[in-house]
Amino acid sequence: MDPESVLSKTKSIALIGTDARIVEVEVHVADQGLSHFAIVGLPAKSVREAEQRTRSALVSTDEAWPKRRIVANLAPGILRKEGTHFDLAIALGILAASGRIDNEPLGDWIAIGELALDGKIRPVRGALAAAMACRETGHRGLLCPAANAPEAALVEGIEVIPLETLAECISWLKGAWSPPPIRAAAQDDTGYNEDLAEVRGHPAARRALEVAAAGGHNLLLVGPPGSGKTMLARRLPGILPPMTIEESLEVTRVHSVAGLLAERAALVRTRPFRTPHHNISLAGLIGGGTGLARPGEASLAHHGALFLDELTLYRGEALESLRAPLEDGVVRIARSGGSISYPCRFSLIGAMNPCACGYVGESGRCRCSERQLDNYRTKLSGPLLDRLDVQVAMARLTKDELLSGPDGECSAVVGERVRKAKELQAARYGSSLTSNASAPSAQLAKVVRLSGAATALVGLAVDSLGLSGRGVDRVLRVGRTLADLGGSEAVTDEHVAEAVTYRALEGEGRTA
Amino acid sequence: MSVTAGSGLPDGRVVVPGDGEWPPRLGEIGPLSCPKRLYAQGRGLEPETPSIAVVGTRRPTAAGIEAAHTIARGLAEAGFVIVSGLAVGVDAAAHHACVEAGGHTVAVLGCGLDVDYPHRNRALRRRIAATGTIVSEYPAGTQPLRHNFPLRNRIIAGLSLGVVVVEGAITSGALVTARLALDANRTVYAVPGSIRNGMATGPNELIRTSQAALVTSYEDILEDLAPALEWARPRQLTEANRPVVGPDELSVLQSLDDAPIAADRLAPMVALSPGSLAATLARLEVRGLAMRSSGGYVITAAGARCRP
Repeated sequence: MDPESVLSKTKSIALIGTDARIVEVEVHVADQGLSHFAIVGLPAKSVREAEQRTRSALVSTDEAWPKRRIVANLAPGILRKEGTHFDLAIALGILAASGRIDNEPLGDWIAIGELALDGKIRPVRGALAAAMACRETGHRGLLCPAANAPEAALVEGIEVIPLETLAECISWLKGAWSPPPIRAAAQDDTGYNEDLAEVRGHPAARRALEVAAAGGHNLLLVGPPGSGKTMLARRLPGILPPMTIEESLEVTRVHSVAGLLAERAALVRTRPFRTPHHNISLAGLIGGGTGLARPGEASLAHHGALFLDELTLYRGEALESLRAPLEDGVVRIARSGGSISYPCRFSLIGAMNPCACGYVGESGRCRCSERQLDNYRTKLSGPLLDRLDVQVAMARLTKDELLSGPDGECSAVVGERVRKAKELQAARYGSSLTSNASAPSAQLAKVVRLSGAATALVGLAVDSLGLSGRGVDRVLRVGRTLADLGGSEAVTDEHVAEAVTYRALEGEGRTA
Repeated sequence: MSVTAGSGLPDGRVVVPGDGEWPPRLGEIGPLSCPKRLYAQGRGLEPETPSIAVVGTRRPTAAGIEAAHTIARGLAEAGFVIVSGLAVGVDAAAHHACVEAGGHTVAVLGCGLDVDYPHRNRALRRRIAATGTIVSEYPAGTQPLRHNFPLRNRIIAGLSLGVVVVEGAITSGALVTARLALDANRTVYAVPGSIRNGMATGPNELIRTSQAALVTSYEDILEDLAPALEWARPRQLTEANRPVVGPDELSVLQSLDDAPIAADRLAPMVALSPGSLAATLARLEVRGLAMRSSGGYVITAAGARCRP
């Protein structure tokens, strides 16, 4: 150790969306001047407060806080830094700059962790992203809070040092302590608690759910209160094929950045099912918040389902904001500090009552006025409804169906058909990410070959039901999915006819 | 009083008894009930042309709209003036059908001619003003007050030779019109509906108590009125224009009626998979044999003709 050393360099990361960028933490302890501490490099409030935590943690660990002028520089200085995970790197930097530990071996390591005042190391957000950055940049390993270690250890090819306290870290650097083995992240066994077999009745809606799952279509369930819309929607993740390891890592990364992994610290193997309340803000739904934007519910539903119950009660601006992410599979949030993108490839399931009181059509029970009925129907914008490819009405179950209805097919059986249909699509589009719902229109025209009878039926639907251009496009996409489910190469009139029934439910009957 | 005073519209006018436009039939509702003047806009009342009223609920089922539309269209094509109240629902369907058929339709309002009510029928109202007639007994600026509407109904009855009630609850305004029509010695026709259809209770009750004649098509009405009017016999429905349907379609059609029934309820009756049932319903729908209503399906008049 060189007592003359006044400058140290350690490394940490800054989160940009779900990506981590390496940040070099330079600490300079001046050999003269009054006691002062400054952090530069566009630190947010959470970073600046590192001074107080670090000072107390060092003292609690029986290390001295140098009574000198200290500057911590987080480079690159142009990048905004946010989060409490810089504490560990700053503390190590101060120790190295004041000659308490050797700076040399730290160059190969990335340090993340929030310090408690007693020197303990608390879990942080984004450990998985940090571990991935660690591997990509060729660093040897990651010093991270013990609570985050299982998550970080999902990344192979790097060493992960799980730390409970700052003292352990110092001992480890001095070769006086070796870390305990990390318990492997629980590979939760894709257990979905809900099975389709539990849903009684509703054959039409079950079929619609299967179609939506198979073709990646967004689904709208319309039915009176208590007709089982939520129950059915919850079973969508369970009939989709299990996530691949890459998909799991993507989902885990988003959840890690959102700080949702701290307790489970496991690889997310079950597809997410997110049910935000209708009071949710725009930022809550698609991402945002102060400072660097956090992922919203749309991104937390990545590779899973986003369920919006009582669709008409959501703020208009929040629903509208979903349109671009639905098309692109990614949310982009521009900030002065740069633009952040989060993945959000989810299935949207909307549920709504047929009218404000929920009982329109059941003679005598509906209490809505003409105007209320009108307002309720026009609440959803056309462009959003256009993106809900499969729309189906659900009726309240009768007493007989509730008490004696036969149990339906279980999720495994339906899931098998969905898997086969998805394989056909993956082969057709050359990517498992492209589905019948998301294929570009130009490509769709090539893969939807209509039989003569099917073409005639589409024409008839345009004439007699006033199907729009957009409506025809949806009928073709859903028809393609129905053909895939049936293992058919061509889209027949049977497929087109069924697809026609899943079109928009608004504008029923003749406009009068 | 200048002729335009009181209507509030550039092409509005006041019609009083004795004018060429004044329909003497209106006097038959009784000297005390008969309005002293009418404000009119558009083509003008034609006292010589036989007219018939088509009325019903503001919240019809799809089947009700279908029935109002078919009947009004048929009557309009046969040369009748179609009278109704410009309300949403059955009234609007009847006006629409008549306008589409190129006929003359008369809308009787419960407010001043310059008051935009109901808003939803604004476009329809413009079309009627261009090709038909809009009348009201209320001067410009009169708001659509609750009690105006039952009074308006006596004018609808008075202007017509007969009144067709399509759908309506027993307490509805359509039934008020029917009663006023009976008082004025008009024939009341009622279109029956399913006993499960709450909106069919009014016409069903009229039929049950023999106050109204049961009609299922405009031909029935023509047949009833033709002797008196020396009208041409309605054309007979031939086998040739009965739509041809397959066995699946037929079994679905036989399970449908005019009260909406959910696809899930149909499934056990017709023994088809959910997918085939959906496809069959869509085929019926695009051919106009069935239609969607309130989350379920109903049969149309054309669909009913397919059943043996």
